[in-house]
Amino acid sequence: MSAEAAAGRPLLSIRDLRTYFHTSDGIARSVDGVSFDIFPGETLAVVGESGCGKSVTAFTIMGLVPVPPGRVEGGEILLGDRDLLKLPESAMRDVRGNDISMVFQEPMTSLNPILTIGRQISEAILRHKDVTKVEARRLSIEMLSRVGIPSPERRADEYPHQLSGGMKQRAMIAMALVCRPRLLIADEPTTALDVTIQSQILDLLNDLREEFEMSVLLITHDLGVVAEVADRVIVMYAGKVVESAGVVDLFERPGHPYTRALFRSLPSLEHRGEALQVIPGNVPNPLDFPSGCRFRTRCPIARPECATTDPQLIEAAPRHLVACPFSSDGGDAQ
Amino acid sequence: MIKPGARPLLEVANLQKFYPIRKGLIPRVVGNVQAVGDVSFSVAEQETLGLVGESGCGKTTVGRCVLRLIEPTGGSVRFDGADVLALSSGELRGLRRRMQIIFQDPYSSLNPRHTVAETVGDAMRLHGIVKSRAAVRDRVSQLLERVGLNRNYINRYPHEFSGGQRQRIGIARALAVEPEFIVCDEAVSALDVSIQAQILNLLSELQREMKLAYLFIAHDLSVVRHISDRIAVMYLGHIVEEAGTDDLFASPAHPYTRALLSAIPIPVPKRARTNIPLEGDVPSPIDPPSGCHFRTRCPLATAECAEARPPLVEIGPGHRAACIHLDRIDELPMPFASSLAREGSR
Repeated sequence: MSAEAAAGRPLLSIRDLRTYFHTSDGIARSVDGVSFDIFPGETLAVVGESGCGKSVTAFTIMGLVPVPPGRVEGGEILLGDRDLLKLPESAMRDVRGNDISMVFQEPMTSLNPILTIGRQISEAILRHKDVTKVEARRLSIEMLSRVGIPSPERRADEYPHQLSGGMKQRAMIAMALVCRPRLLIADEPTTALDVTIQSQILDLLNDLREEFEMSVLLITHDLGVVAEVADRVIVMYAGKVVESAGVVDLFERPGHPYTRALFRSLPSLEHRGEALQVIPGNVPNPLDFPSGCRFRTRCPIARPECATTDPQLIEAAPRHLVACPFSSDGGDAQ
Repeated sequence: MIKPGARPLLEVANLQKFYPIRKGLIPRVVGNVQAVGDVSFSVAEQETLGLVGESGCGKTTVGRCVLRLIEPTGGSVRFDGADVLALSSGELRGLRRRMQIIFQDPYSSLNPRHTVAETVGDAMRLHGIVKSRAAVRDRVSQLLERVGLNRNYINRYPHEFSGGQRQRIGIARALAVEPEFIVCDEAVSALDVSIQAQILNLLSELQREMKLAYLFIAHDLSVVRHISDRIAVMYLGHIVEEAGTDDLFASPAHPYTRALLSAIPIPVPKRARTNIPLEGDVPSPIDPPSGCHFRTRCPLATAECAEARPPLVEIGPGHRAACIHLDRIDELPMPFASSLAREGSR
């Protein structure tokens, strides 16, 4: 579904979310005032480099941030009329798997090695649905078959180590979707996979999204993957959203100096052998983010005032938000 | 196949590496993992050969065998004419001064108890390149600056650095002995996009300045394309295609290469997809399919493909592919990456 068609009521609304980690070295403001909506039926990609807060955002939505050292310092996560941050853990357990599910980057570490695949999927069903064990097993096998696992009856009785990386990721997806959630959060679901297997899994996620009429929140660092599957994109840098736009808009008219720099640092297929344009320096330390705009220390168009004012997301074009007051002043020497 | 007239620095012929599988109370060899089946290639002076393929295809094993960090089972490796596999350990040490490696994981490849000065300086002392302690420190400082690190970092430990900085230390260590040839084994794969670009640029600059040859092993085809002069594509222990970089992208001749290129996610949204879906997974190297190893997933496979392993045949200048159905390759769609590459080279 396109962003235009989805302009109705959001499925999930995140408002001014702040998740900090209290470490012995200080406070890491990993997610610091993040707001965005996910609409029914869309794939929203969250992109950014390591430490930008994209995974912590996902874990906060799922209520899986370890406390301590983590703590949600403020904000709202609205699923319909409910604020997930105010729900007791018992109610959150009903939300997880049932309304919102998650698949992780490492299928090897997120499956239980001592339980069969079928048993793990059945447990998810029995947790949320009033069915018999026999029925749960039948549903598990049906789901394994739907995610493209050959001979699912046999595979259901196998253990995770007997499956290849791609098959494990399929089994993870089967487990996540067996209760038909409205939102699937996929945290780097293909990063650990080979490129030919990656394209199989991306196609599968896309098909299932249409079939189950669910939304997908895709967390990734790979702009190629974003272009393949996303409808809309959120770009994060140092705990903040710096840009948000429809996928075509973002790729054709990136607004924020960080987004532009990120695109220019990709090795392109059209221009080989030329030196890549780089973003100088490193991603800032979450314990010690720069004041004002957090990108200013690496930004080609930074001005003195960037150190003192915290840039807000402003509508640079319809449905295209950019957190930089100077984004129209160049800095995009392509 | 290197350019005519270019001097081959590294020549690898029929390289094989099998790992025996032992079973039972009194262990007996019951089979072999054929990590590298039969691989031949050359790298010319100051050239970059990209070696690509998916996990388990044997590309890393090839890189390690070339340096004899792993002893190959068979075949020959010649470096500047010398037979690397016949060298004694003392002679090998002399050669290691000329051949170096940069590893993927900048976290596990640096000794956490050694300062930068020790990590980078030890090899210089070992090879007697620089004699006095002061001279070593001097040279390490110079190298740090050359790879883009502050020279004051010389007494720091690895944990004080970010991933990109550690990779720079790894590069400085490889450069310390002034090598002519470096194996870059997934050297930028663990890095963020913005840092990856910095390291790729650094590797290109160093190649020009120090006249280095690279064997650049990676799974990311856009990265390999950016840095390589030529590319060899591996599948399950064998090279299936080898060509100049532009040639390989513009006219991939092997069905596997075509499928691989079509699976690259390209940062162009809402394009028409020209996917060549490959069924299933890479077979196990313990029991590879007979004949062509790719036939179990190949959309062009016929019964004939099971009979014999197809040899690499020359199909154009410096362009070789191993497939008996090369004439039918255009039954598969041209990958989007190829159309971009063709536009780019115009």
